[in-house]
Amino acid sequence: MRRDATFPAMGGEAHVIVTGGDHRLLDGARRRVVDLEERWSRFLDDSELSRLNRSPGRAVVVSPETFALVEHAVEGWDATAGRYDPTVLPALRAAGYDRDLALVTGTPAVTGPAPRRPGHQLVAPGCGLIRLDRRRRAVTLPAGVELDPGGIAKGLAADIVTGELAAAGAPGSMVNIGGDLRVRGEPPEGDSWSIAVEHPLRRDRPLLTLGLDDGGVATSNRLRRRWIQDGRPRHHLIDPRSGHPAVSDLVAVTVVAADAWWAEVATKSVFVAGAPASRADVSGVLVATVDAAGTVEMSPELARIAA
Amino acid sequence: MTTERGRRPRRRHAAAGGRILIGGLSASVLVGLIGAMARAERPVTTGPPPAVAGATAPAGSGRLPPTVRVTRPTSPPTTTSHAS
Repeated sequence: MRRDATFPAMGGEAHVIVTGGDHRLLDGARRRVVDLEERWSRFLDDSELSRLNRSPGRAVVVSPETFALVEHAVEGWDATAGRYDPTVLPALRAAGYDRDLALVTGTPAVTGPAPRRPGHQLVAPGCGLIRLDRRRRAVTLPAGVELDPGGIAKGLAADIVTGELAAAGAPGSMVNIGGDLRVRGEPPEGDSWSIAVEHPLRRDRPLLTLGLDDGGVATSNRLRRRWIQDGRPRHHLIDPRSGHPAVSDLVAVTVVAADAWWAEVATKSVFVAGAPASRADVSGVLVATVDAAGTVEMSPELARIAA
Repeated sequence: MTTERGRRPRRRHAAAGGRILIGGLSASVLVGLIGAMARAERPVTTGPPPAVAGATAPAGSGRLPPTVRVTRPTSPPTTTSHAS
């Protein structure tokens, strides 16, 4: 039996499917997604992450979930040689993304210029000085370092919730938060979970449809979350090396990985690097890219099933 | 595919533990894996050590194969991966 729930979460829409198991699992999963957002949202002043960001130089004891978020973010930064960088939050604010922006399709939402702090550094400082005390479960952010969960939280939440559903006896589950998703176990139909990947430039067909038994899929593009600042187009995919929205021929990147958090992190890394799928340099994943001219490239494994 | 540092993140079971997902069920049933990893009495056994000041990772070499397997689907899409 398949049970579904759809609800707003993390700036988008969440879709949870539980196949089989106790009927209370679905509502528990929904509450858990909401719980994780309340811990991690940078738009909530009393979230754990916001409190951490306001405590430079202090060891802050956090929950296991938030420690995992920071730990994975540091790991992702390290594994991508800094192309994914969670310390881009000041740059994001400087670019105008200082509030929960409405999604846009077509005409970008117009916002005024964001105030810049005097002497503000836009280049992301990186994670090299972040201290993680696993024994105390404490995180110390150095001065000038603030974390943006935007490039990892949806995927990690999907991993956490599907993992907990499996531990609770759900034969299968899917958690999709804003398009970044994780599947595990038995699908509702067919031999595997059937997942469509949005085409960034076409509405009449997906980029591809794939079958996945256990893993994560994440998609980023620079066309949806964009706005105007000081008369210039901006988007949310910040290049940590410059502190400005990444300049790239790529308009969309999709990554398939063993974990949704890594898929989400890898999309940012591939986008910032700017190379199409044939030259993407991210470990252990499958990649699909679309550039501004509409050229599609895919890892061979994806190309075979898309043919 | 490999990173410039030639390493890939260790696969993690990303569940934070110790939380009862379903009311009325035994707490011992629902122990998340990441929660177990984060507890003081159970040191994390996977992943790189915590970042320290001045750490510089070595350059990597070679490419690692994908760790995920995809197939041609046998049913209509259940969900869509999209940008948000």
